[in-house]
Amino acid sequence: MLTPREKWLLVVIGSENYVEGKTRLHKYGLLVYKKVPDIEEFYQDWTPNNYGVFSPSLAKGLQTLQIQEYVVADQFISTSGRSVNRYKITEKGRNEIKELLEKQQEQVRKISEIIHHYFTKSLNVVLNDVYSLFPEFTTKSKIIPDVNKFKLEQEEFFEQELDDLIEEKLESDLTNLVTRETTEYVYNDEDIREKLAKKIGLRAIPKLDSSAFDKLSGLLANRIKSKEIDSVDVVRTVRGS
Amino acid sequence: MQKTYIDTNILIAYVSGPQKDPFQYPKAKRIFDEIKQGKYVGVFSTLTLIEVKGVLRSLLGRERSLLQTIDMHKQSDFIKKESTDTYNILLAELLKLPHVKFEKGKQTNFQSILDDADQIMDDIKGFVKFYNNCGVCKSNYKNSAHKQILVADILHVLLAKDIGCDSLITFDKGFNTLTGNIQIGLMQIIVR
Repeated sequence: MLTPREKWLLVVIGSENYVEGKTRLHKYGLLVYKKVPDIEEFYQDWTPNNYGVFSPSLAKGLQTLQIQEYVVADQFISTSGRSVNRYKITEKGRNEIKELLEKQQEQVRKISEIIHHYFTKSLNVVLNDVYSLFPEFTTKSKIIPDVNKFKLEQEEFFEQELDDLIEEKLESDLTNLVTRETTEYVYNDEDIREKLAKKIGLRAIPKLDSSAFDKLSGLLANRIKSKEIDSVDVVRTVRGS
Repeated sequence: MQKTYIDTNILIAYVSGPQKDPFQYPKAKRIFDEIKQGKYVGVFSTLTLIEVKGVLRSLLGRERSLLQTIDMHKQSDFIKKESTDTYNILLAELLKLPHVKFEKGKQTNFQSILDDADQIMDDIKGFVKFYNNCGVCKSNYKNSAHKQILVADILHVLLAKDIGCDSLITFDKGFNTLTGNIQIGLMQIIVR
């Protein structure tokens, strides 16, 4: 008999054909824990470790699932030349979560979205996002330099990509050239957004809107009578220089 | 995507516009354009938002001719109300910006930030400046002062590091003092 959280772990593993490696599985686990808070029972013992974040009880749960043949693991050689386990849900595993899939459709959908989003992406992308979103779990990580290097490479690639497009003299708006998608509240700051919105009398968090950049620009201009201000000077006054 | 902590002076320059802050606005606009284009995530901390409230009150406090028309017992209430209204409008727009993250430092260990700030104060030294004229009226006024990075600046940098920012961007040259400091680690301080 599986515990509820072992069943949820089965849902995570079964959301795609397989999950490549323990490191990725633990990162998926943390993302699910943080992004799908309405799951009643899930792994909560997240601690910083050599690879960023680790849950001892999830590791134990995975072992249980393998021993009881709800999950199988086959080994393959990753692009970095390391031998990695690829975890797959079995038919027995699928039968075990049938009821859960029917009764908790909303939570299952949210989990599937996360796993589907990262399934085709490299481990570096998963690490990059998890390290950016949850830095509190990276304090013991031995791979921070590698993750930072990847971040820098991504930025350089992005800038090059943008430069190439500009050189092609495309006439469309520059902002339309950006291929990155902005998922609403992707940065896990819903709670503070909600609090700030409520504090200023809004009923809900405003929807993201690129035109707000233009509305914000010069917003104070007609509210300040003084001819000119120096933002550094004004801020230093407030900071107490 | 990299996370960049946006210092308060950049936000203030951007919302002030090209007429009010002609020197810093173009630089602020470039930074906000970079955020708009998704080059990096712009991070606003609660500390920054608190400072914005202070800045708005400070700006209204400079409106001498306007304040003189208000009953002296109601002047501070007026400033508080006006600045709150403006802050609310400003924040409502800020909340709509894509590629922006709000940080309240929920996981922040404030004790360790204070310990690091204390260590930084022990590590750095400022410089002495001599004045022969009053900075405001330019009349003869001999004075001297010891200048160094402000404590609030140090707290901004340590908070930025603590919430996992890759860099902090500011207009304030005073932040240069902290570049390379061991407490800041690999986080980059960009002064524009």
